[in-house]
Amino acid sequence: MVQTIVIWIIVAFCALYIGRRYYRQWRSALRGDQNAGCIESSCSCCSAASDCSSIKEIQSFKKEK
Amino acid sequence: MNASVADTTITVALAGNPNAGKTTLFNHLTGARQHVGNYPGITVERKTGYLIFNDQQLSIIDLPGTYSLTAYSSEELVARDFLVNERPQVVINIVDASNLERNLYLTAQFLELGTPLVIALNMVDVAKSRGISIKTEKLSEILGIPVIPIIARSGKGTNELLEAALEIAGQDKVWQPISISYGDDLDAAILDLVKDIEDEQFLTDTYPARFTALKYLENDEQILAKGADHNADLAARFETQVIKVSNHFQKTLNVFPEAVVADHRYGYIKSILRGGIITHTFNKDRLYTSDRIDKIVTNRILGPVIMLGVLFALYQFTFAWSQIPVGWLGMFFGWLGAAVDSILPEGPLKSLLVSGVIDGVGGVFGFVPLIMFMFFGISLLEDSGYLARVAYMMDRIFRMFGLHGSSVMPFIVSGGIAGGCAVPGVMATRTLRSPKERLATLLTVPFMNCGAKIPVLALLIGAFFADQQAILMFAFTLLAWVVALFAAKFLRLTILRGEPTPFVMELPPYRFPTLRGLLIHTWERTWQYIKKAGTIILGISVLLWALMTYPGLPDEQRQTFAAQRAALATQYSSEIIVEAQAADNTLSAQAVQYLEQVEAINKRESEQALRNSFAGKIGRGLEYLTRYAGFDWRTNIALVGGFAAKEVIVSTLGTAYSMGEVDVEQSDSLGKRLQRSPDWNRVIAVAVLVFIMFYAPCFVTVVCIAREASWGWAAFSMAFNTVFALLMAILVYQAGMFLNLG
Repeated sequence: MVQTIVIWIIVAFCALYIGRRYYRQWRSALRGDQNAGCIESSCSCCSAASDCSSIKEIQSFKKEK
Repeated sequence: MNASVADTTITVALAGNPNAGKTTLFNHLTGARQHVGNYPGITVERKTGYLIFNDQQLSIIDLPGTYSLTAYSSEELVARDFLVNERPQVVINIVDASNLERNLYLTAQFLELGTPLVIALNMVDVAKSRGISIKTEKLSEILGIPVIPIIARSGKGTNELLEAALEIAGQDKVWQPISISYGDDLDAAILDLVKDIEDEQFLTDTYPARFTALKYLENDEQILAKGADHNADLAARFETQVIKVSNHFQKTLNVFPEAVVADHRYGYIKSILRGGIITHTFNKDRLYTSDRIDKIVTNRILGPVIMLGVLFALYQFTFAWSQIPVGWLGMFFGWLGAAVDSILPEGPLKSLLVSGVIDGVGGVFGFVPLIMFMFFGISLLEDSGYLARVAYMMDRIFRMFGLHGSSVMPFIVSGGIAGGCAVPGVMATRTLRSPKERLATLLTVPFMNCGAKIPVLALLIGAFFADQQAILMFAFTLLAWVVALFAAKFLRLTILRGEPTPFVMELPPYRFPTLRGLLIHTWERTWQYIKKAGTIILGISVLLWALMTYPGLPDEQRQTFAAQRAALATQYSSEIIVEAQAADNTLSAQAVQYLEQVEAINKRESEQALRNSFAGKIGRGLEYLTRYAGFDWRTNIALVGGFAAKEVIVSTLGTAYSMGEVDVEQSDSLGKRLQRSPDWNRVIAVAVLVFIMFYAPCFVTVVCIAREASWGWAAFSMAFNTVFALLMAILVYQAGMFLNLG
């Protein structure tokens, strides 16, 4: 019984987390953000050999804003 | 006389390099009707003249001679300020025909500013005497502006020049700056700056947003000062970001952004001239090192051969160096699963940890070394400048398929070599001027082997073609290109018909990459892969585990299996059963036989539970279609999960085959489990790979397509790609089984 409750808490947490991630990606993609497909929209690391750290810094500037 | 024309005066600016013939042309056009003064506050002369041509009054301003539009000299500042503040209706850029490459550097900056431009190609007689012949129509077509050959000394061609200038002025278009690519690193930084500049309307009444962004990156003093006056806080933030970008360039490439910008501008010019614009009567060999290398590397015959060789070498390097560490990680996760299984009591928590997390996500983590080596190789190609040559060479092939040369970079970014992402690839199609070429490109870039597909390719190729991994990877990369190009051709011949547009590809000089830069690029991308596996893939794996576990077996079926175990137990003595349960290493033959029979019942029960789960029902429902391609229900579950992220295919297969697997003593990697499974063979592996390469793009790519095109096209992309992929997979499977290749 305890195991089942723990399982469902974990599953619910994962569902919320994934839902939130994909919702953010959806919004980023609709905004035309080229980093929409990446983890945390942190950098276009998915593209061939792109410069991730500079993009991360510019992104963090956006968050500060 | 046309009263409305005579009442307006058209302002024409003459601009160009020193000694290109501006003043000669100015004097010829205006004669005595000129006035010489000074620009306010500085000693630079301002020369204004007037003439009437075709009943139109023209005010001619002779700007100071400049080599570029930077802020290094007062002449350059005067020229630039005049253009942005006084907005002449047309700029005549006088270009010395005998020194075209150097003169076009300024032209490129005019185009980036978006000024309405006409090129006066002066001193064509001098160029001819030096054996230089220039194809002005072709140059005009490529640049998209009129190019008029003149001899300013004699006035030859000046009527045609003025006619072209009046035509441009009469169009009265909004300034349309071009976008030159400065490489992935800078392009991304520029895009982000442009977004903020446009959002905040920062100096946008004077300069195009991209021009401002570039000037910040070039550390242009005048723009920095104007920015600080306009909005000090925002300007300070931009400067801070630019410093960080600059520091990064220093660390990785040992250059400043200004140098990279200049390199790429010259690369842009070289590409214009490479298209047969200039022909030399004399065989003068004044090539620089990059040009010498390009003579071989981009040669019509040798170039593609070298390119294919480089691609194959990349995969050979990747698989050769990563094989051992990938094996170690596979063993580690196998051991970890067995250890956790032996510690935890039976129950859903144990199943979640072992099957859902360790066997699921572990499969994705296991390929980290392969990803690392692949990204290192790709970084080497990118940082050295070779990828730009690949794009340049592909232009010829792309034209045959109705695509534009500018389509090459979106394809490469999406995973043309391997390891990209379709999201920036789709967005990179914005550089394409023709809407139909753009649409054809963005619908076909998802066919490329993005970074998310790499673990799936590596898993199945490694499991079923262990001795030919590099060759198979190479073959699948070529297959992706071939299919994408034919799909584009099909679209361009049917629903997206149209003429191709001219293309200029930047060819920056070759650069010797720094080891530090390569390692930084490699680590950044590898870390993103690890992060994604540890967050999104993990989360989805847990959800899929739940879908593959619940609702579980109905009580009736559970009791059936319990009864089978009870019936089995009656066939053996109690001593044998006790011996078997002791799990000793030295068991009698009867105890071993009993254990095997119990495990077989347990395995059938687990498999039945999996079939009965939510995911299992979906998988079995799809089998009516997919069985013709050789896919079983477990594969179907994995493919459905792949819509969220392609790496999920690996983790879902890991979970599905772990849940059916009862003997944890045999803690094999997923690859080995697939090899042992009767539902898999080589033909099925190839059919599944073909399907994965071409079926519906992942969720976020679909949303990008919707944004860049429309939801209709996004839905078309999903449907068309999936149907096409299924048909291809069926063809491969049926042909393979008919030929007995399984």
